[in-house]
Amino acid sequence: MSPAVLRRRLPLGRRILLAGAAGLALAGGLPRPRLHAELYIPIDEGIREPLPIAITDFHGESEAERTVGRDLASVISGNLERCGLFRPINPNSFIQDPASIRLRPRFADWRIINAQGLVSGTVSALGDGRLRVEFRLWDVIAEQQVAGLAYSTEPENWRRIAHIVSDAIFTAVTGEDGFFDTRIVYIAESGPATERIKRLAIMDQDGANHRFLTNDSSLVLTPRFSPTTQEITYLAYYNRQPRVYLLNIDSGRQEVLGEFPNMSFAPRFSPDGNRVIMSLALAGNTDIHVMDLRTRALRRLTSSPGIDTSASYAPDGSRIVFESDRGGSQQLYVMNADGANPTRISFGNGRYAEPVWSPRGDLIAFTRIGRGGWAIGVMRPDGTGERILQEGYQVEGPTWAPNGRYIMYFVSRGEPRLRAVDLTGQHSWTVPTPVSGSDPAWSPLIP
Amino acid sequence: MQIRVTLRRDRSVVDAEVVDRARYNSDPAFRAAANRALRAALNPACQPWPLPPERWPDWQTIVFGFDPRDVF
Repeated sequence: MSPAVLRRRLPLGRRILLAGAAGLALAGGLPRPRLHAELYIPIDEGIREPLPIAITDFHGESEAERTVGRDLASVISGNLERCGLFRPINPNSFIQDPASIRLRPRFADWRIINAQGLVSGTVSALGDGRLRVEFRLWDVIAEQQVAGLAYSTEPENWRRIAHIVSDAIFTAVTGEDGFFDTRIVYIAESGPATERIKRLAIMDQDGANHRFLTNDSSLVLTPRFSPTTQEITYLAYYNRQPRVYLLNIDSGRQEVLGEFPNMSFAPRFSPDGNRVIMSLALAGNTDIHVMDLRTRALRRLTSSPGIDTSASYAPDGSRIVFESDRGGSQQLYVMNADGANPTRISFGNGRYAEPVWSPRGDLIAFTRIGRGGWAIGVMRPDGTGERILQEGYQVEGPTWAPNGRYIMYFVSRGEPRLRAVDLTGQHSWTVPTPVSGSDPAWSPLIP
Repeated sequence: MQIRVTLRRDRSVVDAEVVDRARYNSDPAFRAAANRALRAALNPACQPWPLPPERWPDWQTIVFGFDPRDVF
């Protein structure tokens, strides 16, 4: 039994470690002489309290610069509040003005309003027409700068700068990669149920810069981002035949990923972006196949008599999770990347579908359909540690943020809409879309 | 991740330090977590700590061990 485990099992009154060699070894620190006992308190659970943070308008000398500075602060504030880990403080309570912070924050003024973090910055127009944006993140309690960056960019890119600054703040405070400088592709739905129009659309993760990628002449399904390029694979019905397409977002170039004589669906990229894994229905049997995007060679990975679909690679490419009804009901299985050794991992109540491996590799998100309703949950790749994050009538289609800490999904009851939730399941929000939205896919961080 | 907090008899915080300084200096994720813990310990809004004054010898130094495994 490790010392840590031993200590956690002691009642609080006995969690006193005597000074000296034994106590210091347990604490794992450098030997320091101590003349009194140390109380040891293990903390292995907690209530998350968002960090109170003051986000000031970025200072500018001209009115145009100050306008951009206000917009930057507004987008950063929205990002940080939305993720649930920060609580932006009402700017009306600020005592120090943005101009004087440039010299040095008066930390006492920020402690009075209970700020623990402070974001300040400047915007200046450069002679070549570009903008220079500087920002600093301050620890108000420790009275020190914890992050600071400067960017120069075209004025129209100011929103991206706000997202990049938000990511820098998120990383400095949490130690995790951010997810704000990302985009979402999803299925934009409109029209009556009998003549439903489903178009591919893309937007920033906060709903800004929305645009449609396809017109209303074809039915589009299951968009998925490439993990390495700004490309999307998706399924579209053309002349009533489903085809898997590849679309470059930046160039708009679109190509059919092969003409399959049978139904194909659920395409998804491999982690290196060089292959697409999908399901093909051949002679009444649906199995998982992988296509090499360079050679277009197709290889079959499963051959069970059931329906095998919704395959998703582990981030290291070594294994694949998929859903199958080979055992009599729809469940999750993990197999090697070559199709060998399929092993069932889901054993809870209900059917399991749409598994997606986390970009961190530590969890698999899924949709569970049970007698009690639908749910979005996660489990470890060996099937242990299952946790339900969101429940509701028809919640489905999970997709991971690139940092593996948030999941987006959609609620298909009534007019479908996009939602996102953190890994604790305690914080969720609606992702704004101009029309009804379903089947989201979260991009990697924009390069 | 562990932090050591030293307290005065009036239950205010004298100092808070990260036990594993080497990892603090080399691991950004560890440093971010440690800073969060230090901020919580040093937060003046939370002082004085609700501790029994007559038992100051027992709590004048407290080591908090944070284990996030059960959170996620």
